[in-house]
Amino acid sequence: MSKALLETHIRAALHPELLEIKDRSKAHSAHELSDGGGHYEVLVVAEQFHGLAPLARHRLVYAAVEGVPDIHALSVKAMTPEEMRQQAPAAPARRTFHLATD
Amino acid sequence: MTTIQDVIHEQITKHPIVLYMKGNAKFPQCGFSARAVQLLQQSGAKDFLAVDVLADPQVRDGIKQVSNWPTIPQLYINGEFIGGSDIMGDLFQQGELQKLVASTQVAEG
Repeated sequence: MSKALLETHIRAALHPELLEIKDRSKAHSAHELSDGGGHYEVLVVAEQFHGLAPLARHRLVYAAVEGVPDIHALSVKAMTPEEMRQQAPAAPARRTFHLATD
Repeated sequence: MTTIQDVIHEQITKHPIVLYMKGNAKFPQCGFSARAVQLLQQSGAKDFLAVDVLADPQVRDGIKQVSNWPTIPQLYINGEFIGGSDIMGDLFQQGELQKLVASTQVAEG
């Protein structure tokens, strides 16, 4: 089962504080080009993303799930725990810039 | 001999905005590609090169290698890999995609 495998792989690689995986396969089953693989949406909240640009964050997630079979599409949202706390609906919009420290 | 990497390199250097997608801008063949087109248009992109990867399996594999990115769509602006539709959505919400698009139009005069 791909969803459970996705979860195992992401947890092992990124030790997320929060991980949500939604299976959207049903919404796409009539997809013209569907090859039968699943569509998944993942939210990964992990400290490892700190200081990384979105591209680098997504690459970490892709690397973690490489080799999991039957994935047709993967939608990724990658945040740090700090960013998630700042995203509280009532909080004023505020931009924080992190410098990559290599 | 011209390799697929050469072809892709030429596309992304000759055109300020290139979207590798499934289908074309008018008839996207995948929800993620459709969203990418929509985000580009909402960001003010009047003209961009849309490359249909379904039309050429070599491009479909080649772009994944060039970008080291496993999924389609993929957006390039000013020769630089920006990301897929999730990242485009995030950048749009931050107003950054609009700035990137605007930078290409200023450059073209």
